[in-house]
Formats: sequence, C-alpha cells, structure tokens
Amino acid sequence: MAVTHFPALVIYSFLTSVVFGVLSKDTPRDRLIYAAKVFAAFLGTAIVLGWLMYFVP
Amino acid sequence: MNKKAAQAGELETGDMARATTERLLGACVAAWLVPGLGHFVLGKKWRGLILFLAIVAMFLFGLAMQGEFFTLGSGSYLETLGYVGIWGAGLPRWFASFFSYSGGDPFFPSADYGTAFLISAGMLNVLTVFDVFDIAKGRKH
Repeated sequence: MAVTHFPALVIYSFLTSVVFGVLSKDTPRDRLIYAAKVFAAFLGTAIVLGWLMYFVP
Repeated sequence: MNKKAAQAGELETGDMARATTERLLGACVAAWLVPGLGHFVLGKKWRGLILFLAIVAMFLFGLAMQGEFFTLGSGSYLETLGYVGIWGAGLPRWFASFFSYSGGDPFFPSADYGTAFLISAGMLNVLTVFDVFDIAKGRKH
C-alpha cells in the first residue's frame, strides 16, 4: 500500500490521538476533546512546519 | 491466642499481596502480548477494545506499507532501539513473522512510513502497559 505524505500523516495522527485520548483522560467526553486537540495539533504542526520548510532553499 | 491471630493475619496479608502481584504481572504481560488485553482483564472492556483496534490498525498499516523489521545484529544502536520498539507490539510482531513477513521492502515508496507506523504501534503498546500497571496498582481508574 503506497500512500503519500498527507494520508500517512492523517492516519498516523488519528490512531495516535485515539490512544493518547484513551490513556490520558478519565471521562469519555474529556477523552474525545483531548484526542481531537492532539489530532489537530499533529496536523497543524505538520502543515505549519511543511510550509516553513517550503521557503528554505 | 493473640500470637496465632497475628500469624493468621500476616498469612492473609501475604496471600493478598501475592495475589495482587500476580494480578499486576498477569495484566501487564497480557497488555504487552495483545494490545488492550490488559485493560480488558482489569474490567475496562471498552477502553481495551479501542486500544486494540487503534494499535493493531497502526501495526497493520505498517505492514501494508512494507515497514522494516530491524535485527539485533546490525551493530547500530538506532536499529537495536527499533527492534525493541517493534517488539513492544507483542504478539502482532510474532504473527507477522509467522505469516512470512520478513521485514518489508526498503525500496518500496512508503517503507519509511511503514517503519514509523510499526515502531509507533510498539511504543503505544508500551504506554498501554504502563497504564495497566497504574490501574492495577490502584493509582488510576
């Protein structure tokens, strides 16, 4: 299965966020919120760093 | 009489401590062997199921992307860490070898991603073992 950067990033971020959410918080609601935040942080950081590196020669 | 009662009490305390240690070890080993099984054993069934699905899915994506299995004999510390990391996934690593997955193709376009997925699955499973340890110890619910 050959995947490009972005789908690999999304899959990786999603699965890791789920595990972090389940392990880090105590209630289902807190877990969901935390997992969503971690997922957004993964994607956001990767996109920002990707654009920053775009300008590096 | 009091001495006998005290000895009986000590025996009971010893038995309880042994039972607690066995439960702790059993849950941790189960958590390592099968992702999520430690939580399942401790009665956290939904948590165990979600962890199982997420970690096994990550491992399977790693295999599908032709991720690399490292060996111990390479002499590289990083590859040794990778080897240990992938074994953190427990039985899925063994099953992959059993079903003739010998370590992927390093020239496959997604092989590096696959390796990252495999090692991450192992590391996430190690985190679940620590979580199971805390739950069995009563530090966490």
